[in-house]
Amino acid sequence: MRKPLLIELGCEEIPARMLQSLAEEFARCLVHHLNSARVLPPGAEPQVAWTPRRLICLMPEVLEHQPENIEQILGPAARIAFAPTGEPAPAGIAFAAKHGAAPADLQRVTTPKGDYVALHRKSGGCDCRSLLPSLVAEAFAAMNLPRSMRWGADLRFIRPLRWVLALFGDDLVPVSLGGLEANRESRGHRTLGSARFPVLAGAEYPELWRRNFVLVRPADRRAQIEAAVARVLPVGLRRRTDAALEDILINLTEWPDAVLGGFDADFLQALPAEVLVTVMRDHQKYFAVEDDAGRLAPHFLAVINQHGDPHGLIRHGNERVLRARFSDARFFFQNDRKLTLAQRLPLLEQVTFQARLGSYRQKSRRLRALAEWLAQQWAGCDALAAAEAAELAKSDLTSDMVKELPELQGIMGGHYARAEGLPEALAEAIADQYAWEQPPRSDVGAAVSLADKLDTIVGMFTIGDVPTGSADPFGLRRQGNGVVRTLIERQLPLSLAAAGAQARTGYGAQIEGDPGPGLQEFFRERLGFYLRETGGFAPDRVAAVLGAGADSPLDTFRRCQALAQAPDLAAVAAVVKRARSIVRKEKWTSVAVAPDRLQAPAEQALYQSIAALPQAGNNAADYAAELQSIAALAAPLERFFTDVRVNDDDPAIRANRLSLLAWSVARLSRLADFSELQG
Amino acid sequence: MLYFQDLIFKLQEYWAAQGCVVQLPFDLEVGAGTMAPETFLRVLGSDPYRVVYPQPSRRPADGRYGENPNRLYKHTQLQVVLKPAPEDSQDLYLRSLEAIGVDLRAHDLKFEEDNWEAPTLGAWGMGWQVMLDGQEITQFTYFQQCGGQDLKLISVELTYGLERIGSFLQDVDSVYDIRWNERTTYRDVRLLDEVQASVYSFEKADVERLWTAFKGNEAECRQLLARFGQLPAAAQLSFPILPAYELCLRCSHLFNLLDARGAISVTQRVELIQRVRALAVGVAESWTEQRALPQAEASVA
Repeated sequence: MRKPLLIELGCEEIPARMLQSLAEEFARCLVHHLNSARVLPPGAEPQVAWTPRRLICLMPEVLEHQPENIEQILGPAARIAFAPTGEPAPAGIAFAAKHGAAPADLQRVTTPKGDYVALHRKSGGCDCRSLLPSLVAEAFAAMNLPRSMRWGADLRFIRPLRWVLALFGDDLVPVSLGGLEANRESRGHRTLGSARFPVLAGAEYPELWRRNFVLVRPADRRAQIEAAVARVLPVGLRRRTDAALEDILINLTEWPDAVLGGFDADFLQALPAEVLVTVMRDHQKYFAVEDDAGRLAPHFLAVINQHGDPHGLIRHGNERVLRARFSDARFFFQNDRKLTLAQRLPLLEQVTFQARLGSYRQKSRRLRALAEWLAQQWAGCDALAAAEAAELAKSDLTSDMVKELPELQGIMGGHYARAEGLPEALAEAIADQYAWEQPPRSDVGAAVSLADKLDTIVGMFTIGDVPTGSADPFGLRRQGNGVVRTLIERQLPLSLAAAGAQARTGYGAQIEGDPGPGLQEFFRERLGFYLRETGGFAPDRVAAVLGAGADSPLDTFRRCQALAQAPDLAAVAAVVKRARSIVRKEKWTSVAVAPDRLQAPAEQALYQSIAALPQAGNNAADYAAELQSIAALAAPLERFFTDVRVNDDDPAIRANRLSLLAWSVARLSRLADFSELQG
Repeated sequence: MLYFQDLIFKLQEYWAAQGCVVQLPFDLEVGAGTMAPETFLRVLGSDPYRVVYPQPSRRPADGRYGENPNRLYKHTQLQVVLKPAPEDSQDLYLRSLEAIGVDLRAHDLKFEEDNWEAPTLGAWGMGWQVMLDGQEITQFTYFQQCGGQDLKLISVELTYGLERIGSFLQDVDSVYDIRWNERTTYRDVRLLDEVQASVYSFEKADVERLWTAFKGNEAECRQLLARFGQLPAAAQLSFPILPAYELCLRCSHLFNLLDARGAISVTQRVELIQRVRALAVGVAESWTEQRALPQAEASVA
């Protein structure tokens, strides 16, 4: 017989961002503990639900009776456990005592290794009701929590735990969690439902909750938000999609509804759209509203934790708050423009970039030099524009708008640059400095964006503040991804080693040491990540091209593209692998081949076909041609191995043959390390 | 209409009925109600306590010459500390909103994650900003640490932003339009204060003298703390730890003034926060020690 187990942990409001993972963590722990007690049927799946005030796990089927289990405990060998008479010997008696058994319980068992003494212990067979209290308590205690808190005595949880509902079928599970006794009571929505309502039977879940204005399933809340939004939006207007915001709102409400509010259309002219949207989304958690053409409309959608707003009070209150915020922003936008970005440079002395890496003023000087150097690497890139944009790129940090809306750093700088009449190229480059969504629109912008990221990465590596495991407090991996992506997608050649050294120069004696070998490895990982995830290349292709060098992301990307499109390389890969293992085994480093010492036709042929490989350039077409030629080299290589003995008796000939192999391997591995290919 | 002063009365009355001592605002400059000794020192140790007090809070850098309708050099907090935190903290809080005339069934209320931290006090807690129709009206915090100490008894701290609640209740767009009483507006009472405080902290404050004052207060506080440590227990009982804390608070305010004046460099900033924190932590330690003296109970009685 099976019955459902329903557990609800009632809390004070749990932060929206961790709600889902906590509910899943509780279910994971519960399933684990029920499984180890063998009270779940095979394949039992929990139904997880949550609201800000509760984590819920429903196990639809839990066995009422735990199956019996006979466990065998093996002891010492039978010949020492039993006397020749068959009576238990001291070793056997000690073994029995250790496990709390009587000598009479000892049994002789035959195993493939011989005869042993054993005890048989029956376990299980309990009524599940007697097991559940401790299983649930253990599951609760086993939960892996992010930063937890205390609220009284010695209890610790993510937020104060206020009630526990635990039902097995219709029976109460008498468990005590964090000092709270479970009972048959849950709580409704704070203002709409019953403060407390009794749950007589597990089958009342989740309908009884719904009647108390609690939608326990996030999917139901999402659907209710969608329906409410559709209801309040007039024809011709639509919500601007924002999946991340919707996820937050789903986890901030138990009974969501939507309210359409408006604001003075003058704000649409007075403030950049980014400002309006950021204020609405990040500060007020409102959806922006747009017309059919995608233009921002003077409306917003607020998701409320309430059933309707019949008198418009909630709409009115939200409109008042938004009006104040927009008025503030308008004031900032006007006031900030009283100083030019250049006039703000001295103010950057007051803004810390990083405690050990100094102020943003120091950083802006470094960015100027680094962006200029970067721009000089690329034909046609205006180095002076890059230098000027880079130096001004952080000035907006001192503006009131960015202090208020830090997520608009850069974007605001672009607006202010334009407003003070700086060239559009500069304004655009400043606005594009983060470029998380897409690469900068110009090479000047790329120089600024790369300078910023390289400066941060190199500085942090030099002071040893590097990402480890899941910890990456400065977001360096994301910055590294940005570097790689910008270089590839804007097709900009760059040696990361040279750029890193240049970035290090910018810090001068301000910090000690160098970024170390970790930097190269860091970029190699970022590049591999990009090639696999964004480029969609097979992991072995990526490993092969990275094996032949990862200093220039663009070049590596092109080699990877050529490799992905190359004809079948399996045969040549196999022989290259063989050649390389010989060279490695001999630790042979010389690649100086003496052509006149090549005797056998096969080695002469190999030499000639490799020497005839096109001395290709560094563009995609050259790489494709080169790989095509390399594919054709499988035959001469195979013939070499069939016809030629490397270990010739004449040491000079042997040396020459090893050099031939080493030279061949080096020559063939310019684009990719074929030994990484999986066929 | 609920006037601004009624808002204070009603909340005091409500919390008095919950057993809170109705305290007066602390008579020194503080950046927040938390810094008043009635919170900072009372949350230490294991003596239960409940208190409510309005607290003018000064944030020099937020001064706007009285020109911004929502931002103030000095705003008014209503501070409630419940020690230990009762099980129904949230319900008590919600009923306090009803006491000031908020019909919760007609409004949208959310508790949104907002963990509080005050580095200069070595204090942090976990909790929420309470949002009413999109407006943050209260900071709700379960104190976890204060003066660098893990707290023995967890207190709940409620900090009401009175100007925001007043604007909400009276439906005005500018704090200056809030009616203080029947005849007087917030503007009448406070505008001059805002203008002059802004002029002083952004333009006129003498940086040299502020520095001198900071160093003087700091030296005095450190000296007191050092002496306390050297005393035999019997002489520690009446030793001036509370005045030492006042010196620490003065440093904190002077630091804020210097900061608003743009007189603190990046490296200095970090260092100064550490220096003020060291005073606060030292005070908290000495205070805890002093309260733990065997005669401490009797001396208060």
